[in-house]
Amino acid sequence: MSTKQEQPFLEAKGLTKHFNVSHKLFSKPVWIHAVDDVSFAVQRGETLGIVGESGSGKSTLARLLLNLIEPNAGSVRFKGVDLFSMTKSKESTFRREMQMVFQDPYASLNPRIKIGEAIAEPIRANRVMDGKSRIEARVAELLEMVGLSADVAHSYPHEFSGGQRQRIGIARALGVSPEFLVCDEVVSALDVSIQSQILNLFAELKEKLGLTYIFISHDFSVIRHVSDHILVMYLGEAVEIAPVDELFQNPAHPYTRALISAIPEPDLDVASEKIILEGDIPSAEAPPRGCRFSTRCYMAREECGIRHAEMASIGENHLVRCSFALG
Amino acid sequence: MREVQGRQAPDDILIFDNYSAGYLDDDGHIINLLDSLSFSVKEGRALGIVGESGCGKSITGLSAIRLLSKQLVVQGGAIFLGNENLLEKTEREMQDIRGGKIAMIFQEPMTSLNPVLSVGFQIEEVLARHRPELSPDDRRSSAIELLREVGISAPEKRVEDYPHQFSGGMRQRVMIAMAIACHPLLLIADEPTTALDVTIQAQVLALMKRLKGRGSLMLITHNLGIIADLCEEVLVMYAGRIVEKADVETILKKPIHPYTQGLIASIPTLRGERQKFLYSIPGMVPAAKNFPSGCRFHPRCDRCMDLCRVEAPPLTKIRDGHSVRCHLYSGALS
Repeated sequence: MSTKQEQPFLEAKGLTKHFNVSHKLFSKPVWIHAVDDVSFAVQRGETLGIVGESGSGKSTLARLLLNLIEPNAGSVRFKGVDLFSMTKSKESTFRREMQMVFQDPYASLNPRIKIGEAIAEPIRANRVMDGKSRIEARVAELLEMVGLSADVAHSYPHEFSGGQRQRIGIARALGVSPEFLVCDEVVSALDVSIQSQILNLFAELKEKLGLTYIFISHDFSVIRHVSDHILVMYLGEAVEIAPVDELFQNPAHPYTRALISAIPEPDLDVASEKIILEGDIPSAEAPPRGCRFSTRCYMAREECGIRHAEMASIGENHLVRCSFALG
Repeated sequence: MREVQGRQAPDDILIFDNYSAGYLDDDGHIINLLDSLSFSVKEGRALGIVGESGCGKSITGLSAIRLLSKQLVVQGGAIFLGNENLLEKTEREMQDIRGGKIAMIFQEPMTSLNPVLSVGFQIEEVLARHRPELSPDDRRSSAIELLREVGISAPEKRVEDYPHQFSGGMRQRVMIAMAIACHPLLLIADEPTTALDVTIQAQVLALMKRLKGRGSLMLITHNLGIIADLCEEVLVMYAGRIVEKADVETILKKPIHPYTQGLIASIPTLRGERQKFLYSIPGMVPAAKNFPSGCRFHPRCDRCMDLCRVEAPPLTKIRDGHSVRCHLYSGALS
């Protein structure tokens, strides 16, 4: 993915975010290691899938990428420009180019504001266009683009089903004509038959509008379906990153292997040699020393609890953070 | 041919016989939810009930243990546990059955566990209610034994702990320990792993697999992967009706109802060629107050015929153990 000759569309380097969760005045700070030293690059028109369980730092990473929170260390370059050192005026231009779609759009829609208004709001706020009739026409166009009829603009959020609300969330994000969308668990709350409709809509929009996506999900089969490259996270760290087919043919990190094998598949012919990990995901407050996965790893040796592995290349565009996977 | 569900099979533990239920709306009208459910759970076997939100799968589970809210009314039929009709039981008699002969676990264990009582106390409570012959010491040692059985380490110590001291996966194990405390004939599990992370879900599924066969299992889920993992028989529900029922192999490999086929084709997979677009069923799942006429799936079905719009198809037996509710197979075409 990070080809030398071409400047990546989006590039994260050493992104780190720790939150202080101690609220006592004179006590020592307690740090949550939400994201630690995550690096990757996305090329224009590609989809990077980020997969991990709760507490892996995927949503914090999304917020860092959109410059919604500031990192403790590291940088994000969007089309070559460092997001964290740009001026305020420049920032607003970039805001327009990168948008986010959330898991539950209902939570981000004001129940007393009509859908048309809700979609028009970011268009106005970003001064993409003015004039009532022009904005109305744009809203109608957006609604049709996401598979809704233009006359639902006069309805309220409660009149819609989960799948329709997700379409509204997408229309709202597309209003400012972004080039880059971060989709955080966008189909997790949906039923299977609706999930496939929404995934198809994302695929269609990507083609039509030439979008670049970061798709975040805990569901590996959804991530496999949408992604070109996949980043696997565990306790705030990237543990493996590879092109999708390579990752499924040669998963190198023991965690990636366990995660794939743990998914119950609706297929009786799969010889299921399940890797059942023991124990729970440790707290990000005190991540294990050495390799963070070592407390649950079925391959761990003594040194794993001491030595912290770095991301290292094991093939073309395939990086893994494990001393043994390297052979 | 219309399938007649009898009470004849000796290995049937739980039988739904033409059971219908609805809810009372604000005007006092009954709106039908579950329509003529007929199926049985066999001894030592696992039946999976799969469907999307609002299809009535949870209400089916709650009906079997008579935990329906007051707004829900039984419209007809019977539910037999052995030879006894559960719908004729008094509340008092049901209390003996719940936790004794039938136990149930839910999606979110924290809402089922009392936060101010230790898990040991809560497990012992079940034993005290259903096995009064046990002394307090016996109950304590049984509780420890049960916790050990469901894979909680150092159960002698953990038995004193409170629910908030356990993680989500561990709480679900505690719920399972409570459910199996009195060796129920039937365990009903409603989305038991939906709130859990994938690797934790795998642990709980492995536990449920290990406990399988001791009693019967009715597993309610939206996830066909979990059905494939645990169940022998499957009911597919749509809008309050059983649309297809068969053994798990038939449902996953050779489903014949257009809804079952569409549902399976919609799931993104971990293997095989990746397609740019997934199969998708158009439209959305209807709410009970506007269930369509005729076949309730007809507005979304790509094989819909005129008949489907007006007449509900009967549950038609294709062969032993495989039935489907669809006019393509009801004989209406010939």
